[in-house]
Amino acid sequence: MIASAGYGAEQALSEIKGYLVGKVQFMNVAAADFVRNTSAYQRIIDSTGGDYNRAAMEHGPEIMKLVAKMQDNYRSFHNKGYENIEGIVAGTKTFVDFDVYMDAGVPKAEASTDSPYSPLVLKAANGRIISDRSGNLFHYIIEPALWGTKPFLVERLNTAASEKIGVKYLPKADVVTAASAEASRKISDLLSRAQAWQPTLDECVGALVWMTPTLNAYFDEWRDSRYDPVASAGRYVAQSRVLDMRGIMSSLQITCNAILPELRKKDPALADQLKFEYESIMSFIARVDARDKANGGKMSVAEIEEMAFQAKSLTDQIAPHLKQMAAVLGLKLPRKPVLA
Amino acid sequence: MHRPSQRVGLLLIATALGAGAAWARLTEDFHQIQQQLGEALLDAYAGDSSNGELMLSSQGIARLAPYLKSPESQRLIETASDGGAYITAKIGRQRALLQHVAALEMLSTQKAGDIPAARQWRALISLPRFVSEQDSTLLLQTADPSQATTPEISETLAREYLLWQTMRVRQLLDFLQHQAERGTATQAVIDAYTGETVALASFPGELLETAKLPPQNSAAATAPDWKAAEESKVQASAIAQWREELEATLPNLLSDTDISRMQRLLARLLKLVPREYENGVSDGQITIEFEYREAVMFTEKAQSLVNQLAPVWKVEHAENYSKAHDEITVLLTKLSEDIPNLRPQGEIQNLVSRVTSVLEKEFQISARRAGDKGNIIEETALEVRVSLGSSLAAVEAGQWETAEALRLDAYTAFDSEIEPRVLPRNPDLGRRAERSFLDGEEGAPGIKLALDRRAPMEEIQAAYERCLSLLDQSMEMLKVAVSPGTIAATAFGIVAREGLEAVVILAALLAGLRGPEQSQTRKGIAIGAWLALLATVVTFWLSRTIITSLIQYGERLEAVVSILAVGILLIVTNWVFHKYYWAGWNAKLRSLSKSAASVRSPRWEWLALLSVGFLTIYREGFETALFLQSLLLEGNIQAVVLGGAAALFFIGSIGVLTFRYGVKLPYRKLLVVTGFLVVTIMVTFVGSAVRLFQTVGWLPIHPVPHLHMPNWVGLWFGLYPSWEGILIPLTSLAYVGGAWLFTRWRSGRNVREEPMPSSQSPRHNASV
Repeated sequence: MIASAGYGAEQALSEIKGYLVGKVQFMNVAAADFVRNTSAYQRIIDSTGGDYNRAAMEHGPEIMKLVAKMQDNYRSFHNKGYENIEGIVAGTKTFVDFDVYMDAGVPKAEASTDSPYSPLVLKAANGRIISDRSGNLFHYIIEPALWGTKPFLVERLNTAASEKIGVKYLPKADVVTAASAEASRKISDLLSRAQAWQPTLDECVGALVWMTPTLNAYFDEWRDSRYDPVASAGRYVAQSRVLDMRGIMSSLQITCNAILPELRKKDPALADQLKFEYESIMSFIARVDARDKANGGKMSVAEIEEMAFQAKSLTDQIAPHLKQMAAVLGLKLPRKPVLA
Repeated sequence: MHRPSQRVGLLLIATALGAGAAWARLTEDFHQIQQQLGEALLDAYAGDSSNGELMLSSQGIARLAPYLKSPESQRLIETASDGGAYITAKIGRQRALLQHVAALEMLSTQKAGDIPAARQWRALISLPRFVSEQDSTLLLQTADPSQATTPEISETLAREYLLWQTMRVRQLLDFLQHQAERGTATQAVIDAYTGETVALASFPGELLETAKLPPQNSAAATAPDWKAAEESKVQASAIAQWREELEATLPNLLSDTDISRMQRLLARLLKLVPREYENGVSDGQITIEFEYREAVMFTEKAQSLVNQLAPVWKVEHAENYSKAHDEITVLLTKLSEDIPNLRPQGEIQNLVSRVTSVLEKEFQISARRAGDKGNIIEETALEVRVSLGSSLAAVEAGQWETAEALRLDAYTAFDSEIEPRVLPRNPDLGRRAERSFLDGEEGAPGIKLALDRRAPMEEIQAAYERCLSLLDQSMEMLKVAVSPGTIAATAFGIVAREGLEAVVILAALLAGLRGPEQSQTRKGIAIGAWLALLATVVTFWLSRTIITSLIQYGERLEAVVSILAVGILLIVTNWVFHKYYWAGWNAKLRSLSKSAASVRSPRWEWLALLSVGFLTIYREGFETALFLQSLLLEGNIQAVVLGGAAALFFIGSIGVLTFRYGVKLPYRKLLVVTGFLVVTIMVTFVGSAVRLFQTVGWLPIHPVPHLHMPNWVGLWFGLYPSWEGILIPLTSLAYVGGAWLFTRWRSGRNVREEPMPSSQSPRHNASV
């Protein structure tokens, strides 16, 4: 049974739940494939007695194919999967612990009440501790292991092996094996919880209210990174932030669109306004991306500041309208979901 | 074939669908125009004006004409293509006019009873940051249109719109000013934002009329002609000046209560800036990020409050405004520059002192309340409780920004009036209470932290409860420190001691003037003594009048008077223990009375005798009168009167026994007992003086780590748990004791060298 009954509400909530479950199922498939690929990779490394240079020399093409597959798996369950449900997961009390664990939690040493740490403790098969509350699974373990950005998660190859396969680093097999098992387990748990979820309009509108203004913070990071367009880090951050914004806002737009028919019964004007506001945000992100990519990334300060100002205006505009929606629908907004 | 009722139903559905489609088209068109204007502006910034020109040539916002019903919005649309020669200025103007058109249409349709259309136009209006607009939304959510067409609802909607857009005007000005200060405001940026701001700040007359506000003085609301190439500082200064003129034309939507609250908040925020800065920055380094950020945030808030209050000051304090506002703006700008540059604490303090001095002098704005201290503390505590209660209620209603604003009100009130009084008495409690408004302690987050992280309701409620509990503890302590019992006991001690001295000295003088032949002499001395009592009353009244006229200086006055009181007490303690003073003073009085008796002229004799009586009593009376002023500042008059009256009764009884019945009382023992009482009072008073000096910031507070002192130690011995609060009173005690030992040692030596005449010995005097 779905809370906050009423046929329209039920349908809206069912749509949101259906969307979430569908995306997590997609993630689950990708995670299972990730486990298969890491197992295959582990077998190759084990076959050479843990000698990565020998493995590269003897199984180069096979290894590179597996690394590419693992990267694709990650893109699937993270970029195409998780980022499209992040707005719901991070914005609802029911799921927020998954967000902290997999995507948003920081290392314990850097944690604050606003930014909780990920409780992830990752151990290799032989009991070696890979990470002890040192950050979330996606951005502190899997991503740096697969793209070789953290030395302790990768093996540096010698010159011959490096020349043979065209990369300087390979992910540590025990790291990706443990991480894939953990990702699969956690995504599977997320799926179970999503399937058992009894969504309410209160918490869905709450997710919109809490998560939509995060656009400002992402846009600030985008703006700051654009002041250094030459530096590769600046370009990378800018592109990443655009992807983040698009992912989060798209899941929020879907959530909002599902609720709008219910709102339209009581206030069609507000329903239209919210529909167009989310569309404006999505269209704005697309235009930012287009401008960002045009002219080789060159952009004047006036343009950057104006875009940041327009982004803020868009979120300034939508946040009260979301609260207004809650008031019109007679909802009691839940508190911002945080881990106790 | 359809029946008539079916036809009506179908017609209604068709109308509704048609209307729905029209609404959707209006919303879509409106958003499209906004989006195109935004894009055209970005293109213009990138050096391509063709998009903007194309957009404006295809009528721009004039495309809304088919949807418009209000004649005034139609007139606005006709003027939409104005806006000067620059394309960015025209774009800016059109962005602003979109808002006025939506507002005019909202009111027009609401008045006409077309509530769905009114809701739609209202939803299109751009909102400022952190605005809450649910209440008015619900006004238009009625099934009966007649309920939503009243003039009161029109007024509410119009005022709400004016409030939103005046806030947006300030946001646009902030953006422009920020760009100018950074040197990134190009000519195109300036044109666009001045164009938009001027158009947005020029409210249509119908809106003002509906909101029951007077017409604007729009003479100043014109865009100046700036050259972007000018140096950024010159440009920023020109923008600041223009901003001031423009903001003065904005409608005043503030009530008297709002103005009073904002003014007090401004003064309090400014007072907090140097304190936060001192805590957060040391030797040009940020030591505590949180405190530093608070200093920055409070400065920004102060600037924002000055901007909001400027139009009010301009009207209400026109003359002072013209000379003071520029100075305030310059000083605040300097402050906002100096804080991020981590300038020395002295410079920050100096800037804040200058601003607060101007605010106090020109606009009579002060952080601290004037009046009786007990009432101030009680009123402030009530204000803090009310603000915290309202803040919690705002949290429960999901109004986080309101909750935070009310928390800040409560914090600044506590910080200005209560914390400075608690800190010297109990630094640990003072600091814990302060932190409970902010980040709190480990495992017990403060209110600000709980609000910032949008904590669960139980956690937030617990934070408010902790804060209120610490406030209660602070109040309990402050109440004890000014308890009437303490004041009465101190008043009794002082009056009794001084009175006893007077009686003893008078008795010693009169002892040598027995017999009927000396009756005239005794009479002269007695009249002098009565006159001295009268003079004491006059002195008391005069000093009270002077001090009352300076009451606005609050604890600063108390601190000065307390030093006087401590001075008096030091003299009294010398009088108690030092033979020299006793001997010297009594010898002078005796020689005066003897010379009076030997004077031949009766007039001069009388005068001399009067003087003896007068000086004997007035000396004590003067000390008592001044000392009691200090007590009156600390506590209430009833307690002082009660203690003083009891002492007078005591002294009166001794006087009657001595002078009427000739009873020989153990004066020396009485003097010794009251002497010790006076020393205790002196130590307590030195402690109080230290506390007052710390309260007004004339002495630092260095808490003694891990030292917890019960309240009664402060109450009876004037010792408070800070190094200053313990060492200075004890030093005064050491001084008195040392001086006594020194005098004993010297007098012992004098006795060996030259024995003191028995008539001058204190023993003799004390055993009259």
